[in-house]
Amino acid sequence: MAHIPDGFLSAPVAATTLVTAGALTAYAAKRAQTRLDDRAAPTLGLATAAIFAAQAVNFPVAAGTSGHLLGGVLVAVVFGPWAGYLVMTAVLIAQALLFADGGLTALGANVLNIAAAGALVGYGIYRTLTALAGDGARRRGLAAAAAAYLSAVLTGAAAGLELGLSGVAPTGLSLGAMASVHALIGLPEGVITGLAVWALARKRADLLFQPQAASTGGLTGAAVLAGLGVVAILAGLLSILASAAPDGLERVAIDLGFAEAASSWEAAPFSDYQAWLPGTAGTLVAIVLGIALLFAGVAATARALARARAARNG
Amino acid sequence: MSDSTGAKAWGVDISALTYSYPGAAAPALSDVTVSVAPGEHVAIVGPNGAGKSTLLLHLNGILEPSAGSLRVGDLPVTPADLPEIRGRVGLVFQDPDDQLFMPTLLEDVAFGPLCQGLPRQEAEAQARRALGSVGLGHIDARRPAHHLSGGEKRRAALATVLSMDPGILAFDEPSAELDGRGRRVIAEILRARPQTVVVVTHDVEFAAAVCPRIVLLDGGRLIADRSADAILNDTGLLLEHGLELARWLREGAPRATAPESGTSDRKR
Amino acid sequence: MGFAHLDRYADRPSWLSRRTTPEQRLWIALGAAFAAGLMPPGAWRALAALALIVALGAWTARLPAGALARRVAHAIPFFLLPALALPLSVPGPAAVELGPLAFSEPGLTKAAEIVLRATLAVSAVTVVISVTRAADLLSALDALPLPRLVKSSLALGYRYVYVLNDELERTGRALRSRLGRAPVSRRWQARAVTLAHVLLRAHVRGSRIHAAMLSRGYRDGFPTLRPASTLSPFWTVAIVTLLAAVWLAGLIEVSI
Repeated sequence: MAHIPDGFLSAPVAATTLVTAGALTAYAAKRAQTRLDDRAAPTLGLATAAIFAAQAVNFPVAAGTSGHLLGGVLVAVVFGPWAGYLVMTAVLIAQALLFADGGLTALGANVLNIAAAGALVGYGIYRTLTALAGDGARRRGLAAAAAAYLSAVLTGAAAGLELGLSGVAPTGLSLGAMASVHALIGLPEGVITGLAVWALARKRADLLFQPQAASTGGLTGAAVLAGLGVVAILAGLLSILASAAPDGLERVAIDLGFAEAASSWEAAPFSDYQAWLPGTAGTLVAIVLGIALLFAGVAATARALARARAARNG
Repeated sequence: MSDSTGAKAWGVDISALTYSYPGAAAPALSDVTVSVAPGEHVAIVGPNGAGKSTLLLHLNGILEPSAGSLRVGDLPVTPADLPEIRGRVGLVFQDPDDQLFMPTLLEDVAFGPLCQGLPRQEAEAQARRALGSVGLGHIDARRPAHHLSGGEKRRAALATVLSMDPGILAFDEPSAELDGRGRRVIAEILRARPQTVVVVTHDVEFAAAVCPRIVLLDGGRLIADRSADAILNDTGLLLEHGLELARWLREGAPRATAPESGTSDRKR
Repeated sequence: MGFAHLDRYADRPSWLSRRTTPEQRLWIALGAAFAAGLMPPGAWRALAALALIVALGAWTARLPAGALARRVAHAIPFFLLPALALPLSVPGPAAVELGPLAFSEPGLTKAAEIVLRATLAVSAVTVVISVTRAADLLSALDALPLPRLVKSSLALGYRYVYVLNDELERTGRALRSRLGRAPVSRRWQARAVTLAHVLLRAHVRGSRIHAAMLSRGYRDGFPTLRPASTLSPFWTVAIVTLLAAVWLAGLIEVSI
């Protein structure tokens, strides 16, 4: 369930995500308009049509079920992150109105989960990886595959967080469940995106989105976005560990007749887990800090690389 | 299919036009000079890559010349005059799907007049008149263009520029991908236009059927500028520039008789 | 995602399509989705009232019941599957036990509520959108506070998905006939190449359309023909007010 339907989100979560997504969309429109000028409307329109068409192509997932591409990273690699964000937003609006796929009250959340995580954070990961590893066709393909996979997991984690905050299920539990479901859904997304970007880069690398020359700011921004995204994903995956154990403990509590105590998650979703698992909480903090440090390093390296390239060109 | 709007017609003067695509090694057009009188019908023929479509895109300023200049009637084609120029020159693109980009047919045909600043009611009346003049008056114009057949799409594309009341109509491969009947219908529509007509095509017979005068372009250069009959009968010239006639399919291509080919008006 | 179902019932005369413009219907759809989707937990009577209104709305739209049911059913798996996980995952006293599986009571209640809210929202939106042509709906989007680029993307996306789909089908058919009994890895590659191809086509066509737009005087923004409606918004205001009232009643029902 990449697309949250109506009826799942609470009013505060729906309102907050709608307002946030609205502001982000207005900003994205400004960025895309500046970059593309009067080409913006036809370029984005055809990209939207392409994603509609691409989503009609089904590919087999496990056990006889089939899925289709989300395409956020693919469209961002070809048309740029802001254009990609707007295209995915347009696709989500059409899906909610015409196909009853994703709710209108959940539109803000779905835009943040799919358009922002897919096109913006996904592109950030792709850009950081290609800045580090180089931009040959195969490397671009691998970077896009990794970006599509990670952004799909992030999509799931974000949806899980929103469902948890809406009181649908304990936050740790829904976050972990959604992240792990998307860790599976993300596999075909990553493979297809990677292969498609590889094919595009071999055939027409000139048509892929070119970041403006010597925009170190863009690269740093991309690296920071990528870092945040990966930290969020790891936090999500760790919460699976954190939620697995208390769930078992709660079963015990229910069986022993302490059901009242067990439903206290509504008041404080995380605190009791951490009380149960001081060791895990400590590890979690350590890992998040470690990842943050790692990404500070990546960002610094990326910036140094870009500066070196700018110096070579100038 | 008479023209509903007043028959205005502008002349075109292209002088020493040169154009290179960014990053391209050879220019797509070099030193092309052609004049078209108001109301005249002229075809520009040549093999693929001759520079025909590039020339067409200069007529209403989509491309800016690298050197040389163009005039449409009394106006030079310059960025400042683009709105006026684009009202004077109606460009009909090869693929009608590129030209029908609005959600409904009526909005497509009214797009030009609305961009020119016409009020809604007038724009709609203008659009309906244009649809009628290409024989699509009976169609439900509030439906999307994907319901139309190939021939209907082509006529609808023509309507989208007729609604702007241009004095010059410029067509890119108007007979491409049409069956025999569709080709004849389009040829009849083009012949009957009172406006100045410029047709770009690699189909010499179609060109000769619509236009009494043919300009031959190859490799970005003007090769010949003669009457349609003269070009059609100059086998050597056609062979030399990779242009084929349909009847050669059955008869086999004639052998080149090189000295006969028209060197008289060739510019090198 | 198929586009075949669009516009199928859009031209049937009905009370709803006579009394409201496409733009007004868009507001009704939004109102209904918000009232149903954001109904607070526990507001059962308000939810029942809302169900009655949606049923009444479906009746005024004169949609064949089977067609409406099929379209709603199409969306149900999207929310039924995640909702089914709730009785197993939300802690609370078990209402039903099936061997090792315990369905908790608060989980079951929550799942039932979510399924009801989602079904109502989907039904309401489906009813209202079904009686509206997609092209009219797109121009009605002008009424929403969306950036112009998003609206033009939707309009052009709707126009060109048909064109790109044709190209995609041609490419796909050619690939399939060549692949035969190719190994799985080749098939995945073929799918990816097909997608890459569609993106390339979209890119190239986008620049051709840009030229076609410029040549007809495009500067920025898409002008529309849609005249200001002369239809009174009375019924729209009445319906949206009713939906808002039911939602407020739901809030009150829960808080007392």
